[in-house]
Amino acid sequence: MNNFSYPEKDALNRFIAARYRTAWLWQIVFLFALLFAVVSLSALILNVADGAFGYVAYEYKKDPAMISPRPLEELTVPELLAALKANLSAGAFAKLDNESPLAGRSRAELLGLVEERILLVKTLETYPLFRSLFQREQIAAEVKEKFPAARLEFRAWLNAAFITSPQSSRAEFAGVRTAILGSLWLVSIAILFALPVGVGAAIYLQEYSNRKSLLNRIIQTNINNLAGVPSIVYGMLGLAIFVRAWEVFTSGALFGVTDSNGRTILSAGLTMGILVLPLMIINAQEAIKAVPDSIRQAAFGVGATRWQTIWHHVLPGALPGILTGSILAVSRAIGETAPLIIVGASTFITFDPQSPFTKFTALPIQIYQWTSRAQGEFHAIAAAAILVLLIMLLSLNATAILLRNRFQKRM
Amino acid sequence: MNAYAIETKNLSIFYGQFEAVKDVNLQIETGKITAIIGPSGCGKSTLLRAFNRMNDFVPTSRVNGEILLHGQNLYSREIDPVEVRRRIGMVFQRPNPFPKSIYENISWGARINGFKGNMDELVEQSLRSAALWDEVKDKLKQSAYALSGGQQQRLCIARTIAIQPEIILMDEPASALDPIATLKIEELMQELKKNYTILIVTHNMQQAARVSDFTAMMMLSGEGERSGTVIEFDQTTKIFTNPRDSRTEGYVTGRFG
Amino acid sequence: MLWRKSNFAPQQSDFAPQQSDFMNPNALRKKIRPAEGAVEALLFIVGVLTVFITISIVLTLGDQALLFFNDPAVTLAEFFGTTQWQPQAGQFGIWALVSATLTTSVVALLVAVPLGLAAALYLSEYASPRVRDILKPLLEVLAGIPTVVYGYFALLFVTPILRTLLGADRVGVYNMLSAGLVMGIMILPLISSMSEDALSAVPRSLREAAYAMGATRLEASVQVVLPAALSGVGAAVILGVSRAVGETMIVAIASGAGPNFSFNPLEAAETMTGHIARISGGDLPYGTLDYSSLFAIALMLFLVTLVLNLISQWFVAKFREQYE
Repeated sequence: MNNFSYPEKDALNRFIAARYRTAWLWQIVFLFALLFAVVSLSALILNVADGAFGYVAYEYKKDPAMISPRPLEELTVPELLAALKANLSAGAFAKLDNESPLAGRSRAELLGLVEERILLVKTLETYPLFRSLFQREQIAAEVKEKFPAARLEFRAWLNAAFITSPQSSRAEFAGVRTAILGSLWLVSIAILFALPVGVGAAIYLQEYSNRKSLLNRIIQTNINNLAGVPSIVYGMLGLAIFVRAWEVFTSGALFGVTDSNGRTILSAGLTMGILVLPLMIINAQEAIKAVPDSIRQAAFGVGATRWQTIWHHVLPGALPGILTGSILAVSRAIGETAPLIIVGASTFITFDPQSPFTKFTALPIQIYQWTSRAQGEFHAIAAAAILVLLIMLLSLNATAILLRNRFQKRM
Repeated sequence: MNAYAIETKNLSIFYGQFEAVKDVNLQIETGKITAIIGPSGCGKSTLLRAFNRMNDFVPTSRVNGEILLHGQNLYSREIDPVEVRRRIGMVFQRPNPFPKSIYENISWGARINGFKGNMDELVEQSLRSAALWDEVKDKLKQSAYALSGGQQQRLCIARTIAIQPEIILMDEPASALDPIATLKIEELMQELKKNYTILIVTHNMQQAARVSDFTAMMMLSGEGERSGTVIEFDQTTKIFTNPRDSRTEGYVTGRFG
Repeated sequence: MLWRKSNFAPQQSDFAPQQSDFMNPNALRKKIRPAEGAVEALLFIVGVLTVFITISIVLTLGDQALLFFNDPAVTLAEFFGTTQWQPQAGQFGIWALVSATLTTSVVALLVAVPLGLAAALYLSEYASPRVRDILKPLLEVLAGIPTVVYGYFALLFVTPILRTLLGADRVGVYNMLSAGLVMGIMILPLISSMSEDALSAVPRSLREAAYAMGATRLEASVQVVLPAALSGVGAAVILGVSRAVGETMIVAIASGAGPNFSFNPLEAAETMTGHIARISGGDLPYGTLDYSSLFAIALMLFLVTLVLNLISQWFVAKFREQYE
């Protein structure tokens, strides 16, 4: 009798049921993996939000009543100016005025100065958002017990003042304006370099060189490798070449700038440019490949030269893809930190960048710096800065997706 | 003075080591329509594309022998392939208008070739010659993609005419079109031959018989061979009623192919 | 007929001079087009530029690394053989840093590979198009979050949780486990999307053959489709390793600020990348041993990731071959 017997009837039913059960269990496991990713993402965002808002216990070393019997929030700009003039030394007042005319500053800034210089505010304890929302009484009790003289206030560390204020060594008064401007300068230089070079290289690889030739394959492999090089290595390259070897150029000495060194926005921007170049090239290649060959044939057929075909037909067709690729490159450049550390980002600059030959800081650098401090208030502003960064990235990517959809519909 | 618009002498076309087309000798008469017919895979398109040096874009392709335009070998070193392509135009199998307006599809080719006259007149003239003017005269600024397949193909013909070629190559121009559009193209060809020499590749024998004055029959050069060659070339009436080669006869009578 | 023969034909002179006489033997002669040549030359230079970038990286790193290795205070035996990295004391054993890189990377991969693969299987074999449309962008978001933000998350969320769960005495404020876990979360989308591409590339006919024989979805995906996509999955894993080895910010923030030869993930230790970041963050005088030692470490990093990337690309080429 043959030994190849498959289960029959009851045994068959049980066997199939068992297989279905196993299959269903594993499907749950696989789904769990995806849910893990979802949960992690939510945890991250909530964690950041948690840090950026919440109660703050603080105290003034000097009594605010010495300025005015009315609450500080109600004081007007002229009153605040008068208080500053009265309580600061002439030298200190003049110095502040020199940095930026006091009469022109916002009320929030002036109030901050009053709190910082005259009242000598000190943060005692910060509380995260969820605790602040759900454990208000406990917090109030705890603060009363530990810091009887303290004031308790709910603060949104991410607010308009945060975005418009420059750096400060005090967490309560620090803002990300310098950092945002620095990041924008950096990214502009990076794209100014990477866009034409990247698109040019892609055009050469796709349209001019023989795709099967050895040179083409070497360049292609090389680009794929460069895309995988750790960003810190690009930082080292930037350090050795832009900051050191080309110091004459990047410090501006060539153009008459005398008081800087190679650690400038220009060096950092060029380093970032090289970092995003491989992505730019790969992206542009895809966009060019997507242009149907029949268009090229038609152009050649009426006697166009290769460059005429590329300029009039291929590039316009590839433009949407190149555009979205540029936006993605910008997103990448804005979030990168390690190369900036190596190239010498400053962690404390209070003036806005005026030229490519100045010292610089950037948003991720600030986040890194503040996160590494021990005090809770620095973590709070780190969280606020992260929110700013994430919002910037979100808008960029949303724009890219919108553009892509819009152009796809047109085709 | 050559009576022939263009002729080939011992023309062989290679892709690397592979000889795709072997030893072709054709004399194409001016102002006439010549068809190239034959079973698929015997090199008809390759041969056609050699005339306007489109094969140059395949990296491994090379040519032995000559193609003479007014006695000049198109493949000699001093010849500019871009100039060749202006004088020998091509209409492709699938209509491939540029993603531009109808007007611009025609004006672009003229502009890059240095046209200096009245562009509006040129566009109208070309569209009239392509039997398309009445259908599009009110929508010249619309995208070419808004036209039907048959209209797009006539637009491609119009843009080819606009640069004033001497010879028009057509690579199965109607195979992607419905029978009515095909008929329009065939009528158009009869008008066009008053001003141009036409060389058409077609796998549709009836079309070749209807439309052409001369026919070249292409086939693989032998049993087990992969190179194609022209086995017979004569007036169309003779090819279809009294061919010399038995293989031609077998093909046109439908015994095979 | 639908058209009228028109009275005007473009004058011969309407076209630029070279048009007129067809008998002119120079009519077809090659035109000099300087613009074309210039453009092609320019684009060629730009195309080859990327090769120069790679050469620059190798030369720059190699130049300083050579200075480092030629210094009398450093021997290759010590570099590759000892486990203490204390430049002030003249000790340069790379294993102190490599151990941390290894530990954090292993932790990261233990998270990213099974979960990434499972996510890929679910997305490519089970998920309906609507579910896929929601979950795939989510994974892309995870991939797009800057690493410094992940560092914050690791230090201020994951570490406290670990300390609560495992005891504050066993888990330090800085530890490799926290950094490794968050690195894993960061790498997960990479592995998931590359594996999903590999799984999708397996031809439908293979899947249908399995179903036709009465297999369940699980059996078909895991026993037929996955093995067929193995080289693509392998490429994804190798790329994940490369990513983990090269990662800087997460470990710089959460893993520790001093070299420590240890494979215990609950301890703090500094990785190769974290060390470079910390030392260059300060004021580093050029020309010192410290300066060139950084380049030696960076050279190691570059070579390791290069080799991994090449292997990964080879895997991808192999698996594309199968289905061409």
